[in-house]
Amino acid sequence: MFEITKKREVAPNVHEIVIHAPAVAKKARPGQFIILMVDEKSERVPYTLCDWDREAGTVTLVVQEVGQSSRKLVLLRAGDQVAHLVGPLGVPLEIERFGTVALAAGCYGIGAILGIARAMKAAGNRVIAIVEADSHYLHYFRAELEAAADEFIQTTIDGSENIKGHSIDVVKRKLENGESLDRVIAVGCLFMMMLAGNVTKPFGVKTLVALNPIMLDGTGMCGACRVAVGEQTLFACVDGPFFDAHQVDWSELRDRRVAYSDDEIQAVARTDVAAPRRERAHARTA
Amino acid sequence: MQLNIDNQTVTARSGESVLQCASRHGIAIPRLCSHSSLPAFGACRLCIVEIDGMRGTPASCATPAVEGMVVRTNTEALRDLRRGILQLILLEHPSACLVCDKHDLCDEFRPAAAKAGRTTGCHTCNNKAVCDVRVLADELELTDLPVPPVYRNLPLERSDPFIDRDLNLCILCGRCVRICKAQHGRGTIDFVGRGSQTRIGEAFGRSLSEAGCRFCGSCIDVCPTGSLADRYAKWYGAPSRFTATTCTLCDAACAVTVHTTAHERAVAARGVDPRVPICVLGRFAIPEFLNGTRRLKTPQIRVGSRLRDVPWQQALARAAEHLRPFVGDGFALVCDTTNTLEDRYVLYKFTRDVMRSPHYIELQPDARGVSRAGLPDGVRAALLTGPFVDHERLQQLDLLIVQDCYATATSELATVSLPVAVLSEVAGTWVDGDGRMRPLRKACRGPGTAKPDWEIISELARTMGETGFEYESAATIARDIGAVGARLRIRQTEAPIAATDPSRRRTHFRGHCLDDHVGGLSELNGVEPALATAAVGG
Repeated sequence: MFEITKKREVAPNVHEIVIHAPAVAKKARPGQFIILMVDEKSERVPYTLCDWDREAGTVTLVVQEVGQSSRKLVLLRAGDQVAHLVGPLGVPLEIERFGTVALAAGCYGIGAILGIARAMKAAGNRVIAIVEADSHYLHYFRAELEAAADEFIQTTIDGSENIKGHSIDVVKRKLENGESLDRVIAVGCLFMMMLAGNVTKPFGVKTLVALNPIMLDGTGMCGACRVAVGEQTLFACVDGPFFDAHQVDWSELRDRRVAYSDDEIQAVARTDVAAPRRERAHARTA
Repeated sequence: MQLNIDNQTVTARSGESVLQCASRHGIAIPRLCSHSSLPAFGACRLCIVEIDGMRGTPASCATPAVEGMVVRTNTEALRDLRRGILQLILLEHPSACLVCDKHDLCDEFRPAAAKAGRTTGCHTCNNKAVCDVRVLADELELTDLPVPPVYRNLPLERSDPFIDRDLNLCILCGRCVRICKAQHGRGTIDFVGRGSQTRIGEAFGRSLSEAGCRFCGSCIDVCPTGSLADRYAKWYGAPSRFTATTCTLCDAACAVTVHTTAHERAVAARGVDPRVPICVLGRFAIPEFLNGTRRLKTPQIRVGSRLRDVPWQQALARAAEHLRPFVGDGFALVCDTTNTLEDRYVLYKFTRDVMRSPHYIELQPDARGVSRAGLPDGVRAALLTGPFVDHERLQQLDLLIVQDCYATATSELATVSLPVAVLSEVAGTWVDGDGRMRPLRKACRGPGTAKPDWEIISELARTMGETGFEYESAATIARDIGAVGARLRIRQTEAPIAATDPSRRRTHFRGHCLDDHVGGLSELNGVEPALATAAVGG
C-alpha cells in the first residue's frame, strides 16, 4: 500500500497528489510516468511523474478527474492509501544542453513540465515555460514554475489574465519574431499537442510531445498503447512517452483513445452511485 | 388581435405574450429562462424586443401581445444589447470555450466532452451536445468577455440519488425552481442567498433527499445548462432517437419517451406530458435496469454443474428435447402480468396446445410488484419467466427452464436459461391498472441476443415440431387475439400515485428487486423514513 501524504485541488478539477513511494522517488527521472491502481479491483492508469523528493521518498502527480478511475483517486484524502504504484516507467526525456528550450503546457501538463523545467535548467538550458488555461482561475503551480524557468509566460483562452490565446500561439509568435528555439516540448491534451506539432513543423524546430494513449501493463507486453510515429508503430510505454510531434498520426491516436468510450461512460454511471458520499460531507465541513 | 412582428402581420391569441405569439409564427427570439411549459419569469432578459410607443426594450416573455403593436425582434441594437447581456451571464459560467478562437477545430477533433468532475469549459461539460447557451453564443457571435469571469467554486453535489449538480454552471434562470413549484406545488428547491451569493438550493443546507425531493427529474429536463444532470445519462451526449412507449414498471402505465444512442442503448426516459411529473421509476430506473451488467445476454445450457453459453438453436433444441417427456400434467408454466398480452397469449397457447398441461399460472403482482407462486403437486417440470417460486420447490423438479432478463439464483438452477428482452426493448400490447390497452414500442436493442418472450416460446414450439406458432411480430399476434386500438396515455390529469407517495411505489419488476439493479433507488429507499417526515413540513 502507498500512502497519500498530501492532496489538494490546485485548480477546479485538477488535483495535486503526493504519494509516499520511496523506491520510485529514488529512481525517477524527468519525463517518466508511473502506473497506479487505487484499489485491488481498479483499472491500472498511467500518470506522469510531475515531481519527486528523494529524501522524503515521495512522488507528486497532477490528476484531472475525467472518468471512473481518476474519480476514485481524487476522492481520496491525505492519509488514505492506494493499492499499487509501479514505476518509474517509460524512457526518461533526453536532457542535454540544447540552448533554448520552450516548454508548452496545458491542463495536467502544467504539473508535468515542472520536473522537466528544473532538469533542463540544471543542464544549462535557457528554459521558457509557457502555460495555458481556459481562464485565470485554472492556473496553478505559478510560483513553482516561475522559480524553475528562466522565462515564465501564462496565457488564458478567454483573455481574462495575461496573454489571450493558447501556449502554442506564444511559441509561434516567438518563432515568427525570429527568436531561436532549439527544442519545444509540449504536454497537455491530445488536441493541444497536435496544435503544437502543427505550429512548429514549418519552422523545423524539434518538438517532443508526451503521448497519452490507452495503456494497460506499461512494460511493453500488451501493445494497447501502440502509436503510429512516422513509418513505425511504437509503444508509448517503452518507446515513449515522448515522441516527435511532427511524425505522430494524430487522427489514429484520437480514434484509438475513444475506442472504449461507451464502456467508460457506463463505468462512470455505475461508480457515481456510491463514491461521492464523503464529498458532500467534506463540502459541509469546509 | 393582430400585430406586426418583424414586418409580418400575425394574429395573437388572448392572453398570449409577444414571445409566445412570435414563436407560434416561427419567429425565433433568443431566450434562456423562458420555457414552453412554464409561466413568464423575465430573468434572463435575452428576449428583449423593440416595440413602437414603448420605452426601452421590454422582455417579450413578460409583455402581453396587444392589438396593433409593431415589434422588432432582431435589430443590430438588440443584438448588441443581447450580446452584452449574454457576456454578463457568462461571467459566472465557465465560458472560455465559447470565446476560444480554436473552438471549431476543437469540436471537430474531439466532439464528445470529457467526463470531468468539475466542468471548466464546454469540452468537459455534460450538456455540450444540447446546450442552449452554446447555440446562443454562436448566434450572437460572441468573441470575448468584457471583464475576467468569476468561478464560484461551489462544492459539487453528487451524493443525492440520480441527480448531479454543479451549480458553478448555473445561470440562475430559475426554470428548475419554477417547474418544481408548478409540478409538485411546493418548493423543494429555491433561490438561496442574495446578490452575487445567490444559488439554487434547499432550505437549511439540506440535501435533495432530505428536503423531500421526489426525483421526478423535471428540473433536469428544463435546465438550459449542464448544472443539473441525470447522473446516468449525462455523458452520452445528444440522443439519436426518441421513442414514445408505455412504462410497465407499475399499473399507472405512464407514457414515456425513451432516449436512445446511436448504438441503440436506452439512456434516459422522460414523461410525455410536460405538465405532470412521473415517478422516479419511470424517469430514472428504465435505462439503468436495461443496461445492467448482470443482464442475461446469451442462451445457456447446463453442462455438469455449470451453465455454458451456446447459440439459440442449440439451447432451444436442448429445451425441446428435455420438455418432450413432460407433456401433460407434470408441466407448469409461470409468468406474471408484467408481460405483454402477446407474450401471455403465446405462453398460454404453448402450455395448453404443446405441453397439454392445465398448469398455466399467471401471477398478478401485488401493490409492491411482488409476484410469488407455488407449483401444483405432481409438477416435475417448469418453465419460469422470473424468480417467482421458492427454491425448495424448484430443487424437487426434474426440469427447470428459465427465460428471464437477469441472472438470479433461480436461473442458476436452470437446465436451460434463455435471455429475454423487456420494457422498452420490446413491442406489444399491455393492460394497465384500469384495464385499458397500452402500446409498448421498441425503443432499443436488448443485450446480446436477448429476444422477447413470445418469440422465444414460438421458436421453442416450432423446434418441438408444432404448428400454429409461425408468428413474425407482436403485431401479427395482436391481430390474432384482437388486441387492437391500444393508445398511449399521453394526457394525464394528475401525477401517478407512485410519484407523490413513495410508499405506493413498486419495488419489484418481473420478480426482480429494482433496488438491486438501479443504484440510486437503494439510496433513495434508504433515506425514505426521513423523506416521509420532511414531506410533512415541506
